[in-house]
Amino acid sequence: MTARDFGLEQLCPKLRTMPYILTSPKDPRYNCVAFAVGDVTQFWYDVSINGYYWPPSARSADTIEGWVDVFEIHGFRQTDDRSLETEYEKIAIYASADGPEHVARQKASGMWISKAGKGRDLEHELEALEGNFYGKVVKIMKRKCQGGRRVLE
Amino acid sequence: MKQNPIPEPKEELMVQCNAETPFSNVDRAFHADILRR
Repeated sequence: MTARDFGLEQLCPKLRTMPYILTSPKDPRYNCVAFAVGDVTQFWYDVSINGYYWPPSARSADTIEGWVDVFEIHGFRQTDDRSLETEYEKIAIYASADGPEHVARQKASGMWISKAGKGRDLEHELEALEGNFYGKVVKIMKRKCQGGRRVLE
Repeated sequence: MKQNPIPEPKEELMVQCNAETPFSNVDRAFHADILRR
């Protein structure tokens, strides 16, 4: 695996100056939403095609409300606090004027990890993916660890 | 009914990209399609 994703760096130029680690090979089967909820077998988007999934009760995948629905189903609630709170797991939704673009989840270390579309997983600073391509962080959501344990690392 | 498969990234084009060469509009569109949600 290469140490840098130059394509992603071109689209997210902050990655050129902020540290990031590629943590998987490219895989078109799952996307950022799937990865954030721990599913690496399906592409989470609301189209009726094999390999795609979207919770039936969630609103449109093209809206921030739809993404919030997905994470509420998984026990997350909205917060304004993006800092590391060791007793909580957190996700951050990035959006542009066109709607939701990306989501990352926070690791126990405080770093964030996400899946770039059909590309690679990467560990990164939350702000490193902000810009014209993924937009900026517009929602933070958190869920309490169960018995002190995180559902996802 | 046969369903459309999820398209694979075009690996050979991905590796041509480097940090020093700015994207053309075509390059940008291609990589954006791979990397967007």
